[in-house]
Amino acid sequence: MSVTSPLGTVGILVRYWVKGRFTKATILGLIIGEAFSVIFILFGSSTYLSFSNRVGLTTGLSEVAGSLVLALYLVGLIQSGFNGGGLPVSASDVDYVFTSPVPPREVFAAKVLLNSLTTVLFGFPPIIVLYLRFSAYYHTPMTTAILAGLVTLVFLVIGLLLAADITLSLGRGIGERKKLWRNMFIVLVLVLSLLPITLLIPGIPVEIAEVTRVLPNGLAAIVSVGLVSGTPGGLDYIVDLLLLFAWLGGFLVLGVRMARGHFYELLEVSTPGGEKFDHPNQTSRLDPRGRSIWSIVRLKEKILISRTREARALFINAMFLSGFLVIYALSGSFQSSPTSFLFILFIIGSFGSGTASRWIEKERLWILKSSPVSMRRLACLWS
Amino acid sequence: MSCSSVLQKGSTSMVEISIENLTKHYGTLVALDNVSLKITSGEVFGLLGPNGAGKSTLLKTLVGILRPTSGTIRIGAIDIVADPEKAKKMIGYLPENPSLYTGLTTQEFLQFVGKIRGVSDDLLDREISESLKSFGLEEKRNSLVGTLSKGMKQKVALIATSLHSPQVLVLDEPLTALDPKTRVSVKDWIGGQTARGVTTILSTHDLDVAQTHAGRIAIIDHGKIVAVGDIESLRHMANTASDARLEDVFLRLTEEKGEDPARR
Ligand SMILES: Nc1ncnc2c1ncn2[C@@H]1O[C@H](COP(=O)(O)OP(=O)(O)O)[C@@H](O)[C@H]1O
Ligand SMILES: [Mg+2]
Repeated sequence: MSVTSPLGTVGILVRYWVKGRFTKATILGLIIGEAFSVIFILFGSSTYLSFSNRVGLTTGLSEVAGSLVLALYLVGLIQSGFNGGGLPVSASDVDYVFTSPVPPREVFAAKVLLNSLTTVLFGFPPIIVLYLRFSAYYHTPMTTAILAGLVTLVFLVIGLLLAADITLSLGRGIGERKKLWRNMFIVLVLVLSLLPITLLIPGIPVEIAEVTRVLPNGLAAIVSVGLVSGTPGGLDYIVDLLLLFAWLGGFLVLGVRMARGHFYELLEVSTPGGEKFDHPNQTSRLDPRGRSIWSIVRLKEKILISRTREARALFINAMFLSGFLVIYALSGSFQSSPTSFLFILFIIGSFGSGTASRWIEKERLWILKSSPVSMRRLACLWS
Repeated sequence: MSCSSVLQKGSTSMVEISIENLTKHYGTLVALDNVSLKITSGEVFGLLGPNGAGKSTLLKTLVGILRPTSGTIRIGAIDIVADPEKAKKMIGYLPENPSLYTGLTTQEFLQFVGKIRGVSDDLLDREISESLKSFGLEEKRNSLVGTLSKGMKQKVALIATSLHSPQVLVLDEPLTALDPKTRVSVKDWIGGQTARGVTTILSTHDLDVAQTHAGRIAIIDHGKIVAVGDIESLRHMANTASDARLEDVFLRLTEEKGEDPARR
């Protein structure tokens, strides 16, 4: 028996996970997917820029809009963290990694590293295209676009770590009192990061939205948009960046500490194909005795919603959307204004958050693999 | 099919398994209810029970994937909850439906499994070559695991189970749903492992399997151990004739408990 160092084990895990995932076919599929997202980004950013030109949007408003979109990504990840999807695992990991003598902490580190690597790899092209478009518009050097892209990627990784930490904190390692603090903290993050919605209500000062500046999404948006639009503010950016990295380090340390013990039962195991239920076997909660038909129907809905994660995620998104519609109706400004533009942005973003909650490393890749079109044959044709 | 190479590997040091008052809940469902078992070193122990009895739950708790709600499990002197890394080093586990990494080749998959179990590189290479040869899988060495047939996958899973020469084998329904030819090679493999003195616990709902492989058998139903013993003593317990088949014994024992109104 050779003694493998912790770093060595993490390296082995990541190396073979990557090997097992990126076959020729998946890589081809991903390239196609990337191409589509780049086209989408080009179209979206051009529309945005011409619109902001016409209506006279300030870069301040762009920062807030960016911060809002990033906040929705966080919302999606927080959701997925609570569902046990913060550290995605496959049934193979359960059978072969969890039964191995590799300490949980190293499994955690390897998972996070792999997630970050894939996110950085596939997030970078569309993000860089977006910022290049912006820097061309604002006549700033291309290097600012690259810097802004890196800052945004740091934010994406912070989101992944946050989701992983939330999943870990569901365990018994964390006491009831601490759980209360955790929940309060998350509600606070959600409320603060969604504050930019208040911009949609006319007459409310922009400063309220600026509160997000201390949160990862606010920091990332301000620095990224600031850089590409050439907004001066040298020292401020450095402070913002330091804060951003403090979030990164904080979440990382928290996660590694929490991952010291057994946490495997907290994780959602993705099974290829089929709906995901909270538990493979459900005891019947549908007991129709002594109930009105209406209450039985409602009960059934309730059970179905709590059983199916996808449904629950959609449900939460619908709640956000309807909440927004109320605000929007109250504001009564349905004309062409920055408001209605942000409305569209919000709709796109809330779908984005639904996607983000399912994004982490897994489905995107598996959809391609399990699709009826034989990617293997395609790959052979192309090469 | 010969497993002589496996047979020649010399004997292992002795490790016994003790399970005390083990209980496991899934939410409100009691999957294991105060289970206590002692498996002596070198023994082949059968866990027999109908579907949903709690066999897989017991084995998963034993290998440290699930955490007991209460109770203790010791592998040798090591508590699986207190020192999981040390205990897992000694265990080879064959899941009920092994999920192999389908995107790796057979060789890569086995290398991965061996490496994270701390097997040194040259030993691992030798082990993989020998095992593939004895299972007749050499030409599949560089095929993706996902392209192998079910029988071949089961063989690869067996190789993965024993790469690190474990002292304890935990096999969850090793023979279920296999074609006759694969069954024979799996049976050979189990025989080879146990000849080395490996402490083995295997679950099955197939009475013949329990009868041929296991020395002692525990009958489990609704999360409770209904009876433990060799075939003779089980027959005695069930009050059946001495030539009664295990099937009758089994039905008799699970029936009695099955009618117990307090079984939930
Ligand atoms: N992850 C799980 N969540 C909830 N219930 C489960 C889970 N796994 C198994 N069960 C339930 O626990 C009981 C025992 O299951 P299992 O151990 O798989 O039985 P066996 O292997 O004997 O067929 C069954 O009622 C099963 O439905
Ligand atoms: Mg089972």
